[in-house]
Amino acid sequence: MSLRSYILTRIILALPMIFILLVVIFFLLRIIPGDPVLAILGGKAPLEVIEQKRHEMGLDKPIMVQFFDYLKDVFTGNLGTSTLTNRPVIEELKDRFPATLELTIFAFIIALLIGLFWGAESAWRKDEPLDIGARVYSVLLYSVPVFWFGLILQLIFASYLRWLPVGGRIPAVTSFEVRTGLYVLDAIMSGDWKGLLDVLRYLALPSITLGMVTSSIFLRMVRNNTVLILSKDLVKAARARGLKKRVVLYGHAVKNAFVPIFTIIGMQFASLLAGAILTETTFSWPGIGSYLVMKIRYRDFPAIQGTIIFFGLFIVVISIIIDIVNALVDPRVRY
Amino acid sequence: MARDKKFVSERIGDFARDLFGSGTGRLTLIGSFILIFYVILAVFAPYIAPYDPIERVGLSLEPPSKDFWFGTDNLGRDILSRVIYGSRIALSISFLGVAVAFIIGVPLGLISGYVGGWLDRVLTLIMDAMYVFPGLILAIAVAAVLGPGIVNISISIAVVYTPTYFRVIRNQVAAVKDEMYVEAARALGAKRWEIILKYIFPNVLPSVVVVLSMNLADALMTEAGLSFLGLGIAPPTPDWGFDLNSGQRFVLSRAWWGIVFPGLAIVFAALGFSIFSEGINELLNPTIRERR
Amino acid sequence: MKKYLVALLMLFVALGFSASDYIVVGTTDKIRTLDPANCYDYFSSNILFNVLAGPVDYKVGTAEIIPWLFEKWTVSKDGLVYTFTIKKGAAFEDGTAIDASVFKWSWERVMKLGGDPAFLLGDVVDKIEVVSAQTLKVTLKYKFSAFVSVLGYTVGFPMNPKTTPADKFIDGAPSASGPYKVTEWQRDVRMVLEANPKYFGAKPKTPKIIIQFFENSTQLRMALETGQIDVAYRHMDPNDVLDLQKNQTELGLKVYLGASPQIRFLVLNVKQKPFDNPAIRQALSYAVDRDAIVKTVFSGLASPLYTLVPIGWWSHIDVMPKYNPKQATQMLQKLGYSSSKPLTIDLWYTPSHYGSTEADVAQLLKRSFEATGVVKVNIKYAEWSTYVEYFLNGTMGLFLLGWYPDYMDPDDYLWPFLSKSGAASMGSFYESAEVEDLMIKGRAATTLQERTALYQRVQQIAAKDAPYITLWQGFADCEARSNISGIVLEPSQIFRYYILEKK
Repeated sequence: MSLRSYILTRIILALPMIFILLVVIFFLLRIIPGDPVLAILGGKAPLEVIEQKRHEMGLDKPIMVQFFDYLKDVFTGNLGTSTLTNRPVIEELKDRFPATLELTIFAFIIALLIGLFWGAESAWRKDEPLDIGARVYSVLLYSVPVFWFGLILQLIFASYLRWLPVGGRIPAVTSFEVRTGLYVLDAIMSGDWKGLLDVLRYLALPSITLGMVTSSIFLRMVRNNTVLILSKDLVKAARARGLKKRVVLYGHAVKNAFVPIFTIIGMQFASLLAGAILTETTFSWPGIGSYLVMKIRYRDFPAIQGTIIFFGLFIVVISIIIDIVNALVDPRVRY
Repeated sequence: MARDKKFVSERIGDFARDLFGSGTGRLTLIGSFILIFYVILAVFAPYIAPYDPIERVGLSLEPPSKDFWFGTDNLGRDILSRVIYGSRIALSISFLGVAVAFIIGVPLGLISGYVGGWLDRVLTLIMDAMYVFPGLILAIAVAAVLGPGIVNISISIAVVYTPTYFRVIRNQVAAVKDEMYVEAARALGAKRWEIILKYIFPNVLPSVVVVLSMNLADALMTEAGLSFLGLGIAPPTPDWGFDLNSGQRFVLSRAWWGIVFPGLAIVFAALGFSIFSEGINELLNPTIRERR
Repeated sequence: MKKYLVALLMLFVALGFSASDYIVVGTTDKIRTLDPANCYDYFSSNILFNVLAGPVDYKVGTAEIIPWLFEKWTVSKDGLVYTFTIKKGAAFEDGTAIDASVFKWSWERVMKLGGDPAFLLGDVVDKIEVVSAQTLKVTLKYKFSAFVSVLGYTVGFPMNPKTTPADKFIDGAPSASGPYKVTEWQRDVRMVLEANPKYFGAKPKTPKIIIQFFENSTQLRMALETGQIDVAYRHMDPNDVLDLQKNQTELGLKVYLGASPQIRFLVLNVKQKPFDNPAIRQALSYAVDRDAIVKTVFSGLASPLYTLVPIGWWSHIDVMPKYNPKQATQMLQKLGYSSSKPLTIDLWYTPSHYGSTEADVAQLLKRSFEATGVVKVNIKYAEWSTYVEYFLNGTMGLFLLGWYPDYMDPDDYLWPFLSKSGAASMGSFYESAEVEDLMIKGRAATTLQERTALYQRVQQIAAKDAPYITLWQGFADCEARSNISGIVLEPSQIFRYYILEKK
């Protein structure tokens, strides 16, 4: 199979999955108890106003008609209007998505860095204290609920030591221009180094929390794969010949150990997103996760539905991209 | 996608194996010790807990002392007793959630794998769609739909894990259904359901048990996350996630014990369950382990 | 390297302190809408009070109504026709003058759109006429002595007809006519208010106010303690308020406490078993330990309340029974309940709408009812929209609810609770021809004496019939860095950003 037809097949295969996702989400949310119209209008609205609103929102139509309207809307990029704010859901998601993306990317980088270096060093010094420490760290960090871990870090570094801000994304006053919504990038593009430092300080705790919790997977994979490669005759020979550690370890062993890690990145990204919900809530991080939690509190139907669809599509897209990259890296995947 | 390890417990188990070494039986021992410890706490809570977990027994927010080892919460209740009783909710929801997932996922997997055809394709597609979705988000959505209550929370958790059972069973069934002994049974005129129940199911059971034990730790963490977000069961029933959430309100008034102890209870339980499942895995399925 | 970083950080801190042209306010509250035609929650009104000019204002720190856009007004003898004179020279930020036709347009828009607060005008206003550019004539459907008070609420604030759609609610910020204008708004994240140069009144003391939104009280408090915000307003947890108050000097903070007209109460659905029996409702009203709630949950900051009308308001009298579990036990035993055959009831609460303390309140109420020895309580909860549906359709028999006034008159604490339509919208479904008659008389009566007597009679009957058991009256609080001045917690609950100042 050529690369192009592989990519095409992969995308076509994703379509039924997206469709099923849409069906499941639609019917799931229709059975929520709690009338969205009453939630918007409160208790004091007269009956005719309630009826009119119901009509406006299309809630008086038969369920199948509502369903097809919904499918049509989704495919035209219309995720409905938030009942709480009267704004298009897609607009609200656009406002908040960069925050989640920035948090996830940085958490990912932190997880990779910890995993890569600690994992490689542990493999180099197998069974020494550093290695045992790595193993204890992995077990513990993965048993820790991310919201609890975040709270503890917040108490230590924000409340007690006061090194880092408590929550939020930027200080009250900033001077850089927001263009992409990824503040790190925006600050760099505006050449505002003070602003960049501010942004990084706000980003530190949430991304470290999420990154550390995720790092244990990478740590373990790098360590085990590197151990495996280091035990190969070729590498042993290289070590015996007195080649520099940096060359042997990072130039050869880790590089090879990295390939299998790539295959789990897709799934990791999905679980990072889930972790982001709890992390964002802990740190008042204005991303999609805290948005979803807030909208569930207000039973804002269209917003909840839109957010979940958005999450679903995002994950499907990520997994397609990962698969394609895999196919590029390793041609065997295609067959 | 490659053989992804989606669930927390699978990984903790791996980590634990790295730590303790494999094939020694030590894992099973340590894991079952922790598991039994929690089961005892849950079953004998009224005898173990020093106080009634929902009654005021001291002043508000008393720090840990001889009378109250873990301190008291803002309503003057003993946190130690609440942590002990909390294991009841944690265990029953994770057991119930996993059991529901088992009851739905296994038969569907058996039928889908054995019958094949369009039914198999449709079911696989649905289950795959649910599987790729982040578990917590799915559970949050379902929990928000169903509202509070032990059964409802269990169902939200079950929704997350049903696809796991389905996938494991379906693939195994598809693999064994053409084996000799099944063919033989079919030739002898055994009915379809007989073949599934008598010949195929016992053969795929070990892998199911492993998945089951693995999901327990995950279910526990998911339950904690849900109740932390305010989607759990109603107070005053002791619940770790809920207590943690209400404990965080008093942390700045220097009442650290309100979040530390319920948090540790969750960590320790998740740890124990995963180690246990890894041990079970080694005992039951020595062959399916990936070896290095 | 480390030294360099520390020096850099200190420089930023120093920069932060020297700039006093802005004040950062933190909150956990949310803004729902900035359209006066749909605005019916506290924090949305709070912003509107600072960006729009209204017909009338309250004198700072009092409940006394003073002119604002309306210079003066007269009321006809029969109390039905109001003639308002509008101030000259008032305009929106784009220069559009605020005259009588703007008022007519805005109020008719409110009534036509039928948003949450529309009934405040719609129920009483019959017609609005423009007499001249500066004169507006309003005819009421019936005599309503609190009409001018209603105009003090944002529902009566005029909107700019040039920029506001006539047929739908706005979803952004309105065209400013008050001391500030909204220059940046990221929902639930931050909002920036800057001085509105076109405002006819006094210039704000601080040209820029930045509002930051937080997830919960713990984060709000940490942000204040660490200096990330200057002022924390609304929904600091009571224990945090008290804790900060204790340590305010060493933390460099000042804690402000004030009265609030918010009341909290239990609703008993008189159409649902067993609460359809007045004797049971009566008995339960003896079994409520308000002091325990106020002390344990609110650290003594709130006040126990024994009637519907708030403490300190005219006609307020304590009419509901004081806590007496023995009496409650006896009354219930008389009805055939015992410890082996207890009265089993569900008690509902909603976890986020009234803040994080609500679950504690429910648990203390359970304890207090069960202390009678003959009641068994199951606590249940539902998120707000589900909750609203449940109480409107009569699903819930006993539940916690709160009330915040629309206008500063005892009528607003009686009519919405005890009239047939009001009671249905509160979920108690109470009906009493006698009470309704007394309240209508109260609305028409002109002397304070007459009205006081009528409203006290209403409160007594309400206590006897017990469709509501009031629990406590809230408190207002605000915490600020000690270099901030101008914080006034007003009886009207208006929070004026334009008098805040940083030294």
